[in-house]
Amino acid sequence: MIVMAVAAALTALVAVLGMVAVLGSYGRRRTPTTSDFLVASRGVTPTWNASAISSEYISAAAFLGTAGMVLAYGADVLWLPIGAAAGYVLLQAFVTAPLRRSGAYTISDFAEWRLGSRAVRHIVSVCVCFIGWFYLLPQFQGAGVTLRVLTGAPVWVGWAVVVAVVLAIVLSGGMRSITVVQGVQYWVKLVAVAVPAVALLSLWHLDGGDDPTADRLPAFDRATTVRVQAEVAVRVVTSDTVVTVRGELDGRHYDGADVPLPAGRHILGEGSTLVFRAGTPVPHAERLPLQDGHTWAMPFGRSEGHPLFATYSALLGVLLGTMGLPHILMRFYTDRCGRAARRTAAVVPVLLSLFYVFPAVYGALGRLYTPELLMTGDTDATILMLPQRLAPGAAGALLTALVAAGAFAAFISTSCGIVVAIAGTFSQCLWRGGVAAFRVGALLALAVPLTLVTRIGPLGAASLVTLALTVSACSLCPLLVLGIWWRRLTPAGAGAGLVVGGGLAVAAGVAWILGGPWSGWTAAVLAQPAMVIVPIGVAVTIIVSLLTRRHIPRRADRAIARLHLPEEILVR
Amino acid sequence: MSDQRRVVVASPRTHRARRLGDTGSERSWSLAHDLDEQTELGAVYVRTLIRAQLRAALATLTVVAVVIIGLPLLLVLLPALGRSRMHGIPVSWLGLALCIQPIWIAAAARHLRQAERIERDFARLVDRS
Repeated sequence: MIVMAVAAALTALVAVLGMVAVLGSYGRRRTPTTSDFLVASRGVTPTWNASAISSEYISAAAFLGTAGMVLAYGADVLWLPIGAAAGYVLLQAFVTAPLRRSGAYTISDFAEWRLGSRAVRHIVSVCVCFIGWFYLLPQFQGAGVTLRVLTGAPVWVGWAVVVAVVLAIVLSGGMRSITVVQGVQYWVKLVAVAVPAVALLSLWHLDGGDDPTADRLPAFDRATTVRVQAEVAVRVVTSDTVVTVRGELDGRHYDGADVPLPAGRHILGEGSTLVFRAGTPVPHAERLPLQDGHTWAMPFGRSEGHPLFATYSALLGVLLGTMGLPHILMRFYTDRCGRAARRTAAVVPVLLSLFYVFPAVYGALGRLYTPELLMTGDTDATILMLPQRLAPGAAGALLTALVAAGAFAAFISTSCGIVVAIAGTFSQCLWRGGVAAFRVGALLALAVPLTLVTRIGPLGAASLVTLALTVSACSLCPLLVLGIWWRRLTPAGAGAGLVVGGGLAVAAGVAWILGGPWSGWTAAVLAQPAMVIVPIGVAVTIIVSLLTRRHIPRRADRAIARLHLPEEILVR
Repeated sequence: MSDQRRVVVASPRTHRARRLGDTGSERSWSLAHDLDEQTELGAVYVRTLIRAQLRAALATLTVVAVVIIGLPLLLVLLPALGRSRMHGIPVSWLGLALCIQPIWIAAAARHLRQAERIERDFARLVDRS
């Protein structure tokens, strides 16, 4: 069975890479110019571009992470897709058409054109790089987890695959081939998540349809062998747990002996194998909450912390963060005109809601069939493990291959988008364009997260994406909205807002990940800081702009007019 | 009578537009010029357009804000809603996973129609003047 799963996963990888190569060569027929590289010569239809945007947005964190977070945290995670789709509604209402009409290539270009300040441009570029790097880290992690879970390969194999593929695509064809690859990959991901979900739901129904929301803790429904791939601290709640251990447990070595696990904290050593009997409640990794089915299924079921604040803050962060993501905003420059950009943004919520129906299904089934992930903490693997659990044999291998293809598509498409965004910003900012500069930028974009990923440890992919979204919500989103709608924005105001908002968001994220443990309101605010930092950032921007109102750029009126006038009216 | 010519009474702008012919790009050039030269008239036009677009955008923002702020409050104030089930599936899950996204799709479609109508109306207004 495992051999079949490995074969299936490798087939999926080869198939996705093959597709990328074929589509990529389609875009490589002509000699590329810089404009081809950056915006695909602006010849992409709104629906096609909307597929590409959705594809770029559905990253490894969305494809693997959402299901995993539903498994671990339950109903409270369902807010995040809602915030993401709402972000595109507001993006359409406030940003896309004017941004496209500005005619700038990247968001740094927009800032410089609107405010006439090189300094603001550089600050924006720094924000773009930080957001991109925070966003690339989970893509690397996702690739590592996927290949490790499916084939047992060491995590760096996944990283190497992502780097090689992304470099090959980005360096050979730029954005043109990426638009084609991205657009197709959205549909690959949708099929990869939908078909197995429907199949698994029917299998679950045939299996007797246990209720994942029943009033009990998750338990192994049959005797289960678990291999621990990274050392983990777990909590055991019942006193009658007995487990057969081969390897390290609590610092002692066992060789297949039955060991009673008293309630409390235990350390499972790397590489050890544990066999649990049927009916044993699952020990939970320390960082994950222990909840029975009822609490898990209830929104705001857990009473600890400040759930209402956490939900609002997370929603705000995802919503505004989505509006400011540089690699997504860059996509709208590929549209022919402002109206096409607006239409593109209107299609995206449709495509996203189609996709986001399914991760919750995997999360719920995971409570029944892959509860050991709550113990190892590898919740990102939920969607990859379920097919083999529910359907051993050829059918399961086929479904695994499908899911794996979706996962590969997820990190390839998002990584490509981010690398193009960072490389574009770099080349425009430091060397004033040019294909060679773009290539150097692409190398830099990949090198930084690659050096960091080895040090960051087993953080959930989702928490890094949250960080990236928060930084974007606190820095680029206010800049865009105020820059488009508020004539009196000054370079000093924009710069101060970016530095304060972006800086505070990065500081909160770093404190949350590296510092701690935190408790009470400090923990609540550090985990989801958007609700606090966004108002501060906006207030700083507005106050400093009003204080420096003599420095309103002379071109402000003309710039605002150009942003809002339809192209056919303004000739020049 | 014979030496009297018929005189068309119209604004100089219309005269000029007629002289330039009926191709769209040429006709709109004078307005583009007006807008580009930052005349008072151009500024008034632009302000009307931006106000209308901003009103539409703020209306969409209100819809989004009401849903995003109201829904969590509703679930906190009425925990019974979180517990209730339909065919064994919690109603809150059905609601969050299936019923909110259509609101966004409708809001986006409505805004798209409105924004394009504002631009069409603006283009017509510009043509008339």
